[in-house]
Amino acid sequence: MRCGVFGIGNVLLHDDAAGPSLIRFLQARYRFEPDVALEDVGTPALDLCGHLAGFDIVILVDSVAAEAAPGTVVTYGREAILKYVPCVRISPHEPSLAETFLTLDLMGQSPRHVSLVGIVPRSTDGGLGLSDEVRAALPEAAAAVVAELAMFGVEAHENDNAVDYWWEPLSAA
Amino acid sequence: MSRIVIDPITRIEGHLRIDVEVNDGQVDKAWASSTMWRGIEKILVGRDPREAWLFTQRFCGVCTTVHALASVRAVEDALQLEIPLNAQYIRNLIQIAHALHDHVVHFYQLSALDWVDVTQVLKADPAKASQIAESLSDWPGNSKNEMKAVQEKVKGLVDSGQLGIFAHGYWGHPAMKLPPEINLLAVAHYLQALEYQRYANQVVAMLGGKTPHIQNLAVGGVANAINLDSSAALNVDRLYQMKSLLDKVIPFVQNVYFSDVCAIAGLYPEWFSYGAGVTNYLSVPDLVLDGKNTEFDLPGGTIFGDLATYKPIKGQRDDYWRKAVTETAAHSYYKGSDPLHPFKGETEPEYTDFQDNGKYSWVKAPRFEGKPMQVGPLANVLCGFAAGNPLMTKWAGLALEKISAIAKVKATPAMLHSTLGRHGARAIRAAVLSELAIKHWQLLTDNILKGDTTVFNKPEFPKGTIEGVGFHEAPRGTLSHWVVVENGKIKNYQAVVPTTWNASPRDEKGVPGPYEASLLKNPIADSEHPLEVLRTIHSFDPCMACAVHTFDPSGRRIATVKVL
Repeated sequence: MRCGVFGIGNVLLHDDAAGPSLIRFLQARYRFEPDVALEDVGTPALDLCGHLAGFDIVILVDSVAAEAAPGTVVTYGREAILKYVPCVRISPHEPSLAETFLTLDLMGQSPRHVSLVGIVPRSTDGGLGLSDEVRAALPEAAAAVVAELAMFGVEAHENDNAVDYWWEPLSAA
Repeated sequence: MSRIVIDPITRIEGHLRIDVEVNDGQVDKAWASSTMWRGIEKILVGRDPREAWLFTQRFCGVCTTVHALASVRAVEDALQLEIPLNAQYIRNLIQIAHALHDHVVHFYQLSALDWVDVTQVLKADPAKASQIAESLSDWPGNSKNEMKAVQEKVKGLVDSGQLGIFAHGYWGHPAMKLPPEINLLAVAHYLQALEYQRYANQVVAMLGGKTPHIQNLAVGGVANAINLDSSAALNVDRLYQMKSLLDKVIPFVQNVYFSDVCAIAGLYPEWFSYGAGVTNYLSVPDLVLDGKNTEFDLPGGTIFGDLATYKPIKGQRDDYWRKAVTETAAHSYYKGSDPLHPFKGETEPEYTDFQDNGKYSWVKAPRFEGKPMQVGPLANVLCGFAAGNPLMTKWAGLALEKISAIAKVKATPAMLHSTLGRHGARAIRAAVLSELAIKHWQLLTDNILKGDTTVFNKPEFPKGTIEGVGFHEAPRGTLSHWVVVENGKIKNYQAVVPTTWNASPRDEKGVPGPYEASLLKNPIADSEHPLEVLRTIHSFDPCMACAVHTFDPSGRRIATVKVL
């Protein structure tokens, strides 16, 4: 059983870095079995399919535009992800997550399970570094990812390495 | 008169917005507007130039490698640093594999459905579709059984009442004209493309360590260890694994993608007369063959209207290129309106609302010797053709021949100044690159077998100020990064990206950019469903380098079409 945790977001846009940050956090604070992949895939849009194909269990980590306070952690299932209606688009950035899973369906490569652990951002304007709220939410979001994996018998062991967010502003680094 | 606004709605301001005014069934005014990166380059100020590429490859989630490459080239240019041949070949192979992936994705996944009506697939005769396919090219994936299976798949989607991934098309639109069998063939290849584009990406991953963010670049070369005796390094096994991936991708590019574009173009010949817009073209030479960046496999230069005006750009240090580029903010949301050279570029925002005759875009207007320029595969192919490049000439000739046979009119190079010409040129470029993939694989392999394992020359930063430009002929056209380094730290950084050239707003003289000009006189059959606008804009392969992909659980549609 191949499990993948995929961080989505742009590290140059403040809290849009929530997904990639959570990947770095999980890599430093947990030890996983070798069949668990942890990847920061950035904002691959249409290309996301290629990264997810072949995985049985997919957990996406991302910033979410939910109506809740910044730093709130929310988990969604496949149905919520597929609520997005594909429609007219102009650039390759616009395809939604729903289109990724519809395409995987068409390819016969859909994962057995998919969920999304999201953090509500404060700001996704251009600039480096997470807001205090989102940074504080990382342990809770990481625990949510670990809980998702545990449903499939995938174990994670706590670890205490320092987290390296290489893109953080110079003053904070 | 009616005004159509196509506006992708995201929670964050961004992306590309197109406004057109329609009179008597055709476009007579157009505006392209967007949020662009601009301010993001400020993140680099004060940083170590050796790590700039790690940040720039995050400018855009789709075109990651191209921004990494342009960045290291800019810093190397400032240092006048020579690059080992192995590093050049590895970079060339990465850019070829990325471009093959990108061009295939663009045609099938992003724009084929502007021309192909999926609902017509059910009316097709699979045996006839297979026969037509076999007359077009020699490709094993065109059997009657394959066509039948694809038809069943689409039938399943239609019966379930959900077209799923195909739900965003304008099905049944009066501008859709392909015979049912060609629609079936195109959908079959749409599905196959999903598989073959991944092989191209695997080549990028093998050399780059990972995708989408490659890890093997360095100012001064690459970080790939070459050791024929080590299983962890680049060795003969790996080279042959890479070759076997290329051997899968190349026939797909030549026998499926190239062939489909010619067939579809031949069945919509009227679209060779729309969408020319700005016929000034800019491309830069690429696929470097020497350590000093002076010899290239693909030529670049400028064309102003007539191909006879072609003037080559000889390299990054050629003053014809280096001194000609400016950007103006007269109609952009920034202070100042004087054209500025990228080394002196400023990025002070001054937001207003959308003003038809004032400021309306976050994109600046880049100009070459004061003129708007179209960039992209069409510019690349026309320059290659004008320069007499043998591969460009060969594949352009083949394309025109195939299109002529299907359209039953004589296709000429002049027809390439058009919406379909941009698709044709992208397929021509992909076919050329597919041949060059093997050439550069062989160059790398031979050089390694000769015993050369050098991949890196260490950069040394002098005291004082140095300036450099790195360019790259990316899948969407000419990309350039301009860097000023002072005492080993970045002082100024500007990226002039392909979509900035093409999506440029009007300049201080009121001259529109390529998107805007290309939409004029496009027919509009149905204002509620402006398929024709999408056809022309998609033909440029837009990529607004500002993807914010926050997941929105409210299920809002991501784009709206409004008719005012």
